[in-house]
Amino acid sequence: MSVFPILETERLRLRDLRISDAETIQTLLNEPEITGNLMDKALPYSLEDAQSLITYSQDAFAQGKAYMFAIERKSNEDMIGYCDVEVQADHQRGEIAYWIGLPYWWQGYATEAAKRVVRFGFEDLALNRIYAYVMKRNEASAHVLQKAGLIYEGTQRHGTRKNDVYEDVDFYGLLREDWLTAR
Amino acid sequence: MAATTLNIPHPYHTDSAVVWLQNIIESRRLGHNDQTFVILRKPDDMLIGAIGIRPEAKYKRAEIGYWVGVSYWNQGYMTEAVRRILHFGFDELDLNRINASYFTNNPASARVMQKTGMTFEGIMRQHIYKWNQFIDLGFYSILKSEFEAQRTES
Repeated sequence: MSVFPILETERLRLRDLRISDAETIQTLLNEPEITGNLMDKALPYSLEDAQSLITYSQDAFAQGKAYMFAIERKSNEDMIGYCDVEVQADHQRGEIAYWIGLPYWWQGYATEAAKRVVRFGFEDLALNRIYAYVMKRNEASAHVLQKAGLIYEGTQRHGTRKNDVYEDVDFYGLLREDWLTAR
Repeated sequence: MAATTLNIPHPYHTDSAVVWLQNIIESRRLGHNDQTFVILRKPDDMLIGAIGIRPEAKYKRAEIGYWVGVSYWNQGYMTEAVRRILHFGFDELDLNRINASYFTNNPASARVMQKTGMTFEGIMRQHIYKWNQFIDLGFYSILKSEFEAQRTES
């Protein structure tokens, strides 16, 4: 893939992260309700953190390691959230992750974006398996995974540690064969 | 034996072994936390296998991996080695969680995990692609609290 893909859904557009998104990313991620659910992010989330995320996304795309998308609404170019698929080519699998800014919760945006990224993974990246990790207490996110077709596969007990508290981490997966059948 | 592991190729020549040993030495030189032990049988110092532990200090967790030569299977050696590594991980490395994974077509490896008091956590379906087939990866883990409770019992 030489040009970064743009993916569309009914209400959303998924596009590359741009350096002009840095301030929006910083604002959206500086919410305990968001970063508290993300295993690889901590507060405070600085502008530099956002900038290095954007730079990394460009390198990762160039190397075929990950496709990291800004989520925007078709009606408006402001970034409202983020989703990605990280590719482990040796095993033909991809790990997905996402977050939606607090002002945009409860409108089904994460589900819409996750479904589209799953389709991208199977159709364009020819993956055999798509999986995700989610903290057990984050039921809203688990629902998103389920609605995107992923099935609960197990729990890493005390799999992560957030603010000095051990957290159980569930893992979910979807196989290409099951995705094709369900279409 | 190679079929039961994630990273071991087949056929395995002397140069494969040299590369493996060089990687271990290089990793140690770089100050990585991974530690790999060879397993020797006490009476004759015969090298019969290896076991490694890879800690992630931030989460106080580690993953272990191991193999034992085919001629030394079914003698409980691996269970003995894993028990010792769990001791090492919880007592010396101050870990909270140790986990291990196995190919579900190799139930013998899962039995080692069960015998050392580990708990089954789930299966990542078709997570591994090796030798032209997709393989399910099963997971077991043990927490420090469980390990301590076991130690008190025995």
